[in-house]
Amino acid sequence: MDLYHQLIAQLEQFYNGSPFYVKFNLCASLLFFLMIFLFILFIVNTRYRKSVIEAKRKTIEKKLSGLINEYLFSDEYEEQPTEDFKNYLQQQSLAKEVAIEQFLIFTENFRGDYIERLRLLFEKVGLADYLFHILKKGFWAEKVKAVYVLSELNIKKRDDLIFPLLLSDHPKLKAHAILYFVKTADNKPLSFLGHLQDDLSLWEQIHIEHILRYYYLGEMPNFSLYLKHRLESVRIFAVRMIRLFNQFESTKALIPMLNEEEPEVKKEVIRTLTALNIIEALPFIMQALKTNVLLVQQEVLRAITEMGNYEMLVALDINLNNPSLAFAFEKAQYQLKLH
Amino acid sequence: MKVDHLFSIFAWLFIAYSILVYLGYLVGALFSFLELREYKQNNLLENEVPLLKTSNLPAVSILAPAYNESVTIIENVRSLLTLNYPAFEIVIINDGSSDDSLEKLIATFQLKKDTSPHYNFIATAEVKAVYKSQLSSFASLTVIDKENGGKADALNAGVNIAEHQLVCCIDVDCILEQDALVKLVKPFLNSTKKKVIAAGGVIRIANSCTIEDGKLVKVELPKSFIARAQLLEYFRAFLMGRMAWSRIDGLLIISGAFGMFDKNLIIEAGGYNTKTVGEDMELLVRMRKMMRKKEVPYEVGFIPNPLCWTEVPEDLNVLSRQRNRWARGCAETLWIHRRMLFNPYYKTLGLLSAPYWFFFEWLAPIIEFIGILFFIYLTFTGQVNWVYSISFFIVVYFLSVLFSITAIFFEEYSFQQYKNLKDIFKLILASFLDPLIFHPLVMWYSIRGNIDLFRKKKGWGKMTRKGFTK
Repeated sequence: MDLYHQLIAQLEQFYNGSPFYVKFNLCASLLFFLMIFLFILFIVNTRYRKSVIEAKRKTIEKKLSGLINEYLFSDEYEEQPTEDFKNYLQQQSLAKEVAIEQFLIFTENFRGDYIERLRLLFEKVGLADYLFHILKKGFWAEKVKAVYVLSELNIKKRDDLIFPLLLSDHPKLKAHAILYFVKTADNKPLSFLGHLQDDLSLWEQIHIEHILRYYYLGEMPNFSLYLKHRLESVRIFAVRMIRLFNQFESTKALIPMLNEEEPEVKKEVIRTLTALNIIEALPFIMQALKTNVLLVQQEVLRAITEMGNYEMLVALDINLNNPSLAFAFEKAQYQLKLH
Repeated sequence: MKVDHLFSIFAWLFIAYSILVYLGYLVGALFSFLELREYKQNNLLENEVPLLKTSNLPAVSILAPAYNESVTIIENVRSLLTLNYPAFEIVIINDGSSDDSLEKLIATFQLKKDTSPHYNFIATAEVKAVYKSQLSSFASLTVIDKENGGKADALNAGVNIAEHQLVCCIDVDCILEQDALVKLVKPFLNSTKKKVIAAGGVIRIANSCTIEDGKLVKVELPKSFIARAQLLEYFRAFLMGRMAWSRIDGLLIISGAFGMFDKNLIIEAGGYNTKTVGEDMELLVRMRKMMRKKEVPYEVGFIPNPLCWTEVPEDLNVLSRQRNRWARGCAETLWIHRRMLFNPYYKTLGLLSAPYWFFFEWLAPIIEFIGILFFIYLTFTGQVNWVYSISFFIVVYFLSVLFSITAIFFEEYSFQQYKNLKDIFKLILASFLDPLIFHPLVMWYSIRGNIDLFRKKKGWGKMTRKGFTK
């Protein structure tokens, strides 16, 4: 002990006798060393906590799957276990998180009446109310998760809480609100488009398309209704969907759109008319060549390659000063010659 | 002025510089943490199936220059062909290889000369021929055979031939994750208000990892200290540095090993600069300047997921050549775009990114080296205040270790690629050794790079690789 006290005393003496910059360096070194130590502890603790959480997660999963199995398949179902589980969930946030994940997994694996019963159980154990509470007061990332879960479980009780999120400044929140309305719709899945203020991102368009193709069971919307939407991205999306769902009846509405100002919309219209092989639209498409926009001109040449012939191409009145256009023209010539 | 006073000013300048560097790192670490957290929150519920099933995902041309890669080229191309993406083509650019790379490609994939027209939007060394496969299963493969012109020239030839709007430039010997393209394309899908001109990803170190059929099957910690130190360096650079720059839209570099670009913008900017060895950084800076001049709102995306794995040098000679090239590339780019420095017209780029690269990336090893020479001089003339020097050294040492430990923490917080806790302890140990062993080495290699730059030495230097574990 004497040695220890002597050492401390000597260090104190050294520190007190040092100029300020040495004192500063020593304090800073000590601070950084402590931070290193804390970070290492934190890393190790993260690993440890992860294993503890994993064990807890398994317990909760076991409890819940027991309850779900009893609720879905047992003839002698009693309310008490559900009440007990509800109380258990209220005490732990991890339990709520795990339970929600479990419900999502069960929903994915069941069909028909069972889904409806699962939804009822979800509400009975208080998880739906928990999500509604998050929608009212949660942080954006929690809200995104809540909207996602409600859409996956098809719980449509509080559309009023999700509707304002369509106008959210946060892109992910807006995106998931959009997907919620498409996924939970029994009919008219695109009715939310009328309320949109900001353009649809390509990510959103692709996800809406996916839901319409693989989840939506109602009558497919008439996409031509959205060809005059004020947002360019919605018009583009509608044109793409006409192509994807082969809505030939909408092609008449597409031809006037060749006079649109936005080149991206024009390009998409030409691509759709070409994909649907509307040969009678070719003269109108060729008119679009007069647009002095490379993007559109290249698409016209592609349309001629697909639906026209070599004579049509060489008869075009086209200024080939732009190297990219000249190249596209040469390529079209080559392909038509091959055919 | 007395010599003593001059020395005193020098000493204080070194201290002020060190404090500035470390303050920059601290702010960077904070921004990176915020960016990583936001990325995790944004991607928590990400489902990639819709992206893989749609026909509306932008098609991508993968450009991979190859020079004397005969040993691994077939395996690498096969690996690229199996990537998960609905529409992509692979363009291999054989940059005048003197080995049998081309013959192997022709034989394996049954390539035939393509007679369709091509246009050189960007001038390159002569393209001898373009090949396409006769087999429908390899229809997405194109091989360009050209005269040797260097990596930048090869990439330009690839851009000229690329069919699609987005081009993904990679190193042919890199291992890409199966979902690498789907993840890297996301910045291009999410933006509605700004034009996305490029997106980059994190490069991870594949030394000692298990690779089978060109795919990474098991992540393992590199066995050698040199590779481990580089692993820490990559953590610091990507998970801390570039994430922070991405947060304030100040990224000046997208790694040449893995980056996605808008093809038309590359052509408009004039393509890769063949006169610098830092072509990846130079191109992005030029594209950003061009967008600023056009006054088009734009952004550069950055994805922190581990998407691309590469082998780092374990041989000191190879490491020396690589760092020499990086130092020259950085200096050349800064010189080419010197008017951007402190220029408010370029906003974040001019006022933050360029000064950071100038003072803390290019100048740091030079100042450090002068500092060491100065210290040696003071030692020999008996003017060293040892108490002060040792205490200062300890502060700097602990701060350096702290940054490496923070980088390890970021890795733990984000993707936790190294599952074994023992590996983390090995990395922590490497963090303590890194400032004493690895850092002085890379500083010296940078100094040599700068000396070579003034001696007008050009070229990449030979880069040999050990090859991956099978």
